[in-house]
Amino acid sequence: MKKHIACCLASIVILSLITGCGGNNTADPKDSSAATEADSGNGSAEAADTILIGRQKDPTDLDPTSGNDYESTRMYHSIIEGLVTVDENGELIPDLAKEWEISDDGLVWTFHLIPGLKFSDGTDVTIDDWKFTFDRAKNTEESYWKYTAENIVSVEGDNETLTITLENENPATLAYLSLFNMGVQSKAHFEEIGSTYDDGWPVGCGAYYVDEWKHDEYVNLKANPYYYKEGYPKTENVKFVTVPDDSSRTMMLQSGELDIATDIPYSSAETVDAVDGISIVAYPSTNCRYIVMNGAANEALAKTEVRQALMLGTDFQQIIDMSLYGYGQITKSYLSPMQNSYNDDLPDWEYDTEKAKEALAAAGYPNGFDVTMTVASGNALFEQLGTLLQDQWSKIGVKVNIESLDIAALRDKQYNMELELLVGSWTDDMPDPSQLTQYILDYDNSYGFYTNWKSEEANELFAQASKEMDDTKREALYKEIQKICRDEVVLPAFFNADEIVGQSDKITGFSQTPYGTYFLDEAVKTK
Amino acid sequence: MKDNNNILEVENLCIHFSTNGYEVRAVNNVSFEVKRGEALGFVGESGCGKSTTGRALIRLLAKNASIPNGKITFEGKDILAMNKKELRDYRGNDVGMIFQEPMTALNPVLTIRTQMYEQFRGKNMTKEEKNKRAVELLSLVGIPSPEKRLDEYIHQFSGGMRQRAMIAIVLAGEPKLLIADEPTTALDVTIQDQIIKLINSIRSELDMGVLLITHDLGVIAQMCDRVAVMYAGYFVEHADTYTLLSNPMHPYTKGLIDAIPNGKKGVLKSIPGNTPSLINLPEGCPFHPRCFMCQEICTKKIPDMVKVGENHYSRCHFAEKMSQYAGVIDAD
Amino acid sequence: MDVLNYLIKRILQMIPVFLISTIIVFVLIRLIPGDPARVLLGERATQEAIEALHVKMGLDKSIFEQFIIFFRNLLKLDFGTSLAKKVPVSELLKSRLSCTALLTFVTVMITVIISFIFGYIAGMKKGSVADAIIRFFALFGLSAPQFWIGLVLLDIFALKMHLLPVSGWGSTPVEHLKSMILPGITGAVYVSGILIRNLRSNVIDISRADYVDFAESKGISPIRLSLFHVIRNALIPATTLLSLRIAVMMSGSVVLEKVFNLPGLGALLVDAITARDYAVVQGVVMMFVILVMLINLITDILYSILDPRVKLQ
Repeated sequence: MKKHIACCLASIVILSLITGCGGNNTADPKDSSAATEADSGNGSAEAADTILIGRQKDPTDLDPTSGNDYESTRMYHSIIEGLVTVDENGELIPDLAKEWEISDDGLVWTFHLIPGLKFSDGTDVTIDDWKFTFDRAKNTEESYWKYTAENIVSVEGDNETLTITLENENPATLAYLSLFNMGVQSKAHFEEIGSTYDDGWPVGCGAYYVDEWKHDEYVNLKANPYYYKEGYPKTENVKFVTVPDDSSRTMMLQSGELDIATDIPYSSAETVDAVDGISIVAYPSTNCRYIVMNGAANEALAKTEVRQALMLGTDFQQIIDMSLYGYGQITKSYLSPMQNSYNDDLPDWEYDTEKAKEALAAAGYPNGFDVTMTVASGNALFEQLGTLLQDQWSKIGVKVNIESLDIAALRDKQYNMELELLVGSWTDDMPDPSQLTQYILDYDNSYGFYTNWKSEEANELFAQASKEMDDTKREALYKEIQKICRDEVVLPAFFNADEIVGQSDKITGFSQTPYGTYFLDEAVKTK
Repeated sequence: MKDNNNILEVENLCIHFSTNGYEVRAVNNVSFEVKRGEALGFVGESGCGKSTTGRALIRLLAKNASIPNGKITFEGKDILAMNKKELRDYRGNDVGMIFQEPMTALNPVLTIRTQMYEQFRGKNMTKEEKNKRAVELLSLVGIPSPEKRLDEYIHQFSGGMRQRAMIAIVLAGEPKLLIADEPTTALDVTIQDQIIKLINSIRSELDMGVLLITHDLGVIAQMCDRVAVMYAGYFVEHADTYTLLSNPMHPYTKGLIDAIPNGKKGVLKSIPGNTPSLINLPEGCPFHPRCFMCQEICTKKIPDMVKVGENHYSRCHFAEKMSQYAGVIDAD
Repeated sequence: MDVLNYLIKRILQMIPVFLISTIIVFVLIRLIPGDPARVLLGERATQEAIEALHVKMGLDKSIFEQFIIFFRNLLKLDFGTSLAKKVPVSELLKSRLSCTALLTFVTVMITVIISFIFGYIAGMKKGSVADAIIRFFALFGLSAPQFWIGLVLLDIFALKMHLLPVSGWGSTPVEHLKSMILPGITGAVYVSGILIRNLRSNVIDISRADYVDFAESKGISPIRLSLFHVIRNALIPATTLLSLRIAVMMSGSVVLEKVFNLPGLGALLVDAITARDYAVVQGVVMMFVILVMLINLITDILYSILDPRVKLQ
């Protein structure tokens, strides 16, 4: 009897293992002709069909309305294109709209579209799809990007001409229109999937369409057969593979299992570059990391004089050398030098420890003070920044205690303004200084980017700039705002970092914008 | 001595163990033979070498044992010269051994059937034949419901049944010589009796030789035709049972016999002193420190095995003096 | 029929354990600081967006209400949806479980081969050079950090020799298996360390046992002696030890999964806790509890089969 039971148990266990191990075999039989990353890893013959890009995280959301994280936002342009876009230098250029006219009052914009546009599923792009897209951009409650569409009153036209009527004149209009939530999406597809994309994805006119998304493993993009640019994209498949571990990702790049790897730690850049056949390419970016000093949690930090003194004691160049290994630059303002209206006239940061100590004494802290810096546990770069600050500020009498918290707990405390000193991050998504400026000045939402700073003057200047249609005047206004922030030492940046990407030398034509968006249509992998 | 009726002949067997750099002389110059159908007993205190001798017969000694001298012949075959394969054929089929404690001597996770069938290897039997034979054997040893019990495990058997089961398994090999190493020591008296009767009946039924190893003279008396008394690895006396018990010709044997409680009140008589260390045997006769007859020569020279009667040998310088004690069992 | 009764009894015992652990996890994960909406939507999220998401996630209700809803869904076998990944928790669990199960299976196969062979040799040849070498490797396997072993193996076999994939687990069953070899070996090194020592000491004890002598005295072949008498008995404690290790392995090994980039349960749980993805944490923990209880049950039954002296009660 017992022997029978033993056999039964054994068979049950083995059977469940086998059936369970079917895994998710959604791979189409015809897909198997395209190489997968588990090939012998030496860049086999069919590999020219597929480019494999390894990243640290999986995208959270392929819905451009709700997607907010970097891994998601960078991908949208590959599948969705809109009226205008941004080139690799960060400049606005026409996309699906060849040209446009603006009415005298600045409220009616008429766009002439490229004729005969089709979605990647072969259906025609109609005015209904445009209306659906803008409507969704404007009216989705949870959408972080909602504000960019709020100025749109109506969208009319036909398949070749689009007339957008705005409520107010807004100098950032084109910048907003370049954003991914404004890229036309297929209404029919949306209705077919259900009320939201949830774990699905939109159908657009980009160079690629999403073929498969296996959560935490990969997103597979296939070339859009109806792409309006003849002969593009040059590569049939692009697969974004999620490899959370830095060393694994680097190893896969070295072994040929990845053609491109992002999120290479700066400390590994030299080693990776030294490998035959692999190069590190540095892409300029609007990516900044800030020294966020919260006056609400630490009274010393609330004083401008103290913050000024701290800046005198901060050696920004050393920070860039030690943490970025040279892949970055100092920024004099809260904006990155890559962004429009960056105020280059601002003075350079001074580094003088004696002056710093004097300034601290004058501010009422002759013996320095203590401050706690909170970093997300596991973030090596942030921890390094903390250590650098700790070391530098110790020379001027300020003792930095570094505490490590898990990200969720950190966010809670951050939002409750309980954190004294932390690292802030920002990458712009559009070629306009208003995105970041608005965020900082929106005290109710961001508490001054968690610094507890507000300024009526700055807010007024911003209100003016939001209506100023003249570029020069607008730029001057932003420069003034930046000066105020600089004088009051609001959001000094550790650096403006370049994004380094490890690329196989077989890859040509790959690039990304300073906002992180990938340009894939010209990317080619030679055999 | 060389007799065609002998199935087993042992000549001058010496067995040493090396432990921690010391050489333990466990068995010294032991010679004996067992005839077909005959029961020979080895009796002596613990550590006298009787079990070791028994195990040597099937070469089941520990790894640190060596046999510097001696010859063991079974039906003409030289046991000590056998290779592994010959040894395996010999074991189980020619000679079988019953262990003292059946609970530990049988594998607790294999059925009796499995362990018995192991003895049928090489005998070319069909499944039905094996089953039939197994049932027969269990019945032979007096285990009721044999068909059922074959598929049970040793822990499901009670005291006496366990020993019977082990005997049945050993018999399955159809050995010509049965070595029984303290088969009754772990049993209570009533069961002891049953087992003794069982072995006796099997012996006569199957005409099997038996080598009985025990410390209990009473069991010797019930089972053995002849007996050898061992002390410190030596045979000290060797005779047929009745003669030995009624006419011991060695002081040690007498001491053993006297030590048997006889139902009279009073102090139990024991042999003074302790058994010697086998690493450091005393010079001369190994028994001399405890012997009531000890003389100077005893301390200097080991006595030879001397014939003192019909098939009666003793290893004592003053063996003849013992006859005065014949028939007298020390009272008080 | 005892076995059936025993099974029923054990299954009934599992129910309160399952319920209590479910409640504890449910409450605990919600009590630790951290807001899943804030983690999901990121630093820049507006307060309205966060609150809207709270409503969508049902987090605006009291813990008690949330539990009622959760429990009702549980009875319908609806384990909810992952907040972070927007897919049903059951789907996530299924695919992650098959990955972890395959890894466990491969690890166990390799472990069994390595440890049973070498444990036996070490035990039989106690005190010899072979024994010393084997014991050294067992100790090494126990003490060496898994991520280090994993990276070294990756470096040699994947990077330099291109024999096996560096990471990920591929999309076809063949790829799945190939990608399990290196992590399987890495995991096996550790578990073998434990099992070799156990088997060795079992074999040493057993080879001194009377029944081995008795079996030998019957003249059975050395192979049969090793297999049926020594190994058969030495296996018993080793098998239960292995079963319990399987339970541990089935809960996923975060280290192995991170180093080899395998989508397994360990990484899922850690990521879910970090993201405060309540439904996933709940689902994973509930599954662990059931798996561990089942494996314990199977172990107990297995033990009673291997050792007839043990009765199921």
